[in-house]
Amino acid sequence: MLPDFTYVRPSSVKEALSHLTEEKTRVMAGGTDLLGCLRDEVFEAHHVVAISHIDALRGVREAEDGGLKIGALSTISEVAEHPVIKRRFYALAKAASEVASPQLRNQGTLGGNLCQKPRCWYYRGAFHCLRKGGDICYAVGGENQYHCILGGDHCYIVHPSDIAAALTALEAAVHIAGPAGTRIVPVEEFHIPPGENPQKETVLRNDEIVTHVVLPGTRKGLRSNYRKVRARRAWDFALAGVALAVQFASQTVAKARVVLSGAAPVPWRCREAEEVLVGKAINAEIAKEAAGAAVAKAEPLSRNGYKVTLFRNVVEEELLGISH
Amino acid sequence: MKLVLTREETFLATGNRPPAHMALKAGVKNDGTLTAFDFTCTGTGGAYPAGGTALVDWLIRDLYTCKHVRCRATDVYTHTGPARPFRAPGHPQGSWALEQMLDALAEAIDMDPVELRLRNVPTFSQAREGNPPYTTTGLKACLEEGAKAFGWRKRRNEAARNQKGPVRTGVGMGSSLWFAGGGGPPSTVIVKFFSDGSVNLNMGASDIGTGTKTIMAMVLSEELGVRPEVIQIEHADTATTQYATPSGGSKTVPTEAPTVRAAAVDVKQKLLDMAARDLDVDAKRLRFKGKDIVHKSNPSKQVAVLDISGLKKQGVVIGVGYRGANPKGMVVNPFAAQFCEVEVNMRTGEVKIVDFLGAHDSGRVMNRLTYDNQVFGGITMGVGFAMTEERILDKNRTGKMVNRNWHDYKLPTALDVPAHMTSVPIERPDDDANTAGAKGLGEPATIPTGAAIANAVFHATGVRVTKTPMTPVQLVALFTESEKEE
Repeated sequence: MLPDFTYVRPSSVKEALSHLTEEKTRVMAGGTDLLGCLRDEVFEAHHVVAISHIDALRGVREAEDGGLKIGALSTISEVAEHPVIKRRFYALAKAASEVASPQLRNQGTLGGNLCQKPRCWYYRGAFHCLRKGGDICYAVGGENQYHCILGGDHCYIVHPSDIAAALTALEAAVHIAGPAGTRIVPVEEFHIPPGENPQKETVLRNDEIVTHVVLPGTRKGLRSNYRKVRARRAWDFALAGVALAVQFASQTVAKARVVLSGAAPVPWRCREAEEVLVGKAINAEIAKEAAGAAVAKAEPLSRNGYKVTLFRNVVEEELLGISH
Repeated sequence: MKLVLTREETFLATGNRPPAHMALKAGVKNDGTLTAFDFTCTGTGGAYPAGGTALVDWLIRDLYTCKHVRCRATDVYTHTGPARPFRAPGHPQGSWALEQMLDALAEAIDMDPVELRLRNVPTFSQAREGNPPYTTTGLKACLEEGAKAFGWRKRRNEAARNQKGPVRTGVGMGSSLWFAGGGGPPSTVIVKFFSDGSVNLNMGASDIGTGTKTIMAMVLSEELGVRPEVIQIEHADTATTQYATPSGGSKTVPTEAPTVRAAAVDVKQKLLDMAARDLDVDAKRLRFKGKDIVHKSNPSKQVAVLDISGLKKQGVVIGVGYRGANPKGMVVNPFAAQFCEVEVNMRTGEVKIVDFLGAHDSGRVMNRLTYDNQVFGGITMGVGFAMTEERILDKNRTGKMVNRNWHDYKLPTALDVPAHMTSVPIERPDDDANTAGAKGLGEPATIPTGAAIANAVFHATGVRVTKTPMTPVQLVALFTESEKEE
């Protein structure tokens, strides 16, 4: 059952911000995640501020540098199908196309996807876990087959977003509006690891909303891709998601980002793998070495050791794929 | 009254397909003669004595001719929620073990898996007291015609040539019977034939989406010689319809179709009696001919059904049909064989089911559309059983079910089901079984699916998967092990 809450639907960002002053106020965009959380009593809401009618948060605009400014209310479907995104930022379009199901992609938004709550079944279920203010993480010694192998620290969720991994790889940034104005945070720094705060997923404060996502201008020789392995072929989160953005100078890697989804509590940049790649042509040997480096620091839990092999294999496969 | 349960409530309160832990040992001669099955099974009905192992051993005992069969099942009490009979109770579990074993035996004696099964097709039920014969046994035809329609040998050989790289193709199959599916009493159906030519069919049985109403209208239409669209059906209403047994056991069609026919015959007999009075002849000398009732030897003696004076006076003729007994000393069972092709990624554990074919002997095909839907629906459910569905309990700490929602308990989606599926009816009208000639179809279609997929995965990879579901969570480790051995 949904709890009782007040509901407002402002038409401007300024007006929306004026409603974000009280405790237990939740922002709603597409609502696909918020309503589920409220029904499952993951957290409470006394006030809901629906931003769905703020037209300024819609649409995709091209910047002069060849970059893109994407409104936070753009639906996942719009992102997946946008011709410029498909052409220049393929990893983002691909990741968006792999999200959930067609219905959820039509309703869910880009901003909401970045701000979504973890899908850990203990967090979502009737377990008073650490992330909900309890004392323990039930995944430790529990049913942790879908939990993290990297970056776990008292809490062992995985970050569920495919899109966040792609945006991190593509060096995107999030525009955030708050009472003091706008601030810009790289997607890479948008999510908070549990070691820092196990009860908060993003740097977003309660009185702020995400307004846009900005992709930097086109870089010559940039190729990107996203690959998702899951237990079910649709409507499922990643067992292993790999976002690659590799900038080639002829055959040689000038710059690379390798970002994992479903591996860690935040979208996980594999700097060790990136270091292996830079300055080299990707051949079978390099791909294997980089894939090994990507999971070298993995610390699997009791039931998710398969993820180490899976991520290594997928990173290797995708690196070879992107090199031709 | 209407009772609606949430997904969570369904898991917690209505019961589950019971889990089974099975071990099977078998012997075969080089000529394909099965010599022995030794089967042990542990299961649980939760805290209740309700069949955690019920029928799990049935296929081992009955599907293939085998002289020496020993089955031992142990039900264990647990506090993990009650078992419920879930589509083809026990059978998909037993099939998972038996059909994979048949595959392993075939490999051991270097015989084609279809051929091995063909050598052991039974004509009687060896598991039942007195070894009664089946009314009809379509198993041989299911295997032969199914294999032919699928292109079994050719595709099996072609797949074998694509088993080197990371993505490999495999072709597998499995066969089955279903322990029930013959239906039986009690059932009572009332048919009202109105003077305007319209008909009302009143029965207790429900239509849970399987096409029951369509099929009963067709039976009535065939027997009464009326168009289906003049038939109105009222059913499954405790206030206005008769007692009926539940929709389970794949028995609605073989139970209700003969009963509907009997009620229609009763209506016809009453109309013949009325016509005989109008024509002043013996009713035994009359017969139906289109919209008329005519004298068998004197064509001048005839009356249009709607002109019968008794019908006009009464406004309606009411027929009652009762479901009679099944044939004594015979067993009415449906049979099946299913074939499939899969693509397996050895590095990621992803399995794509490319193609499926179900060849089913369920007697007469009552309606091709609803028949095919049952076959495809059963295969879909079998795909879930084999590939995605699993009840996960927090076993080390709280015992609570952690995946009791639509997302975490993964039913197959449209993308998990093969894009290409074929239904090949093995139509052998079963006149001994009942007056409709039909046997059950719903549950049989879900029995061999999982094992057929596992056999195809083995064909592709050389890895025998013994645990469901076959997701990357277990396959990545299994495939990694196998590559080390290579």
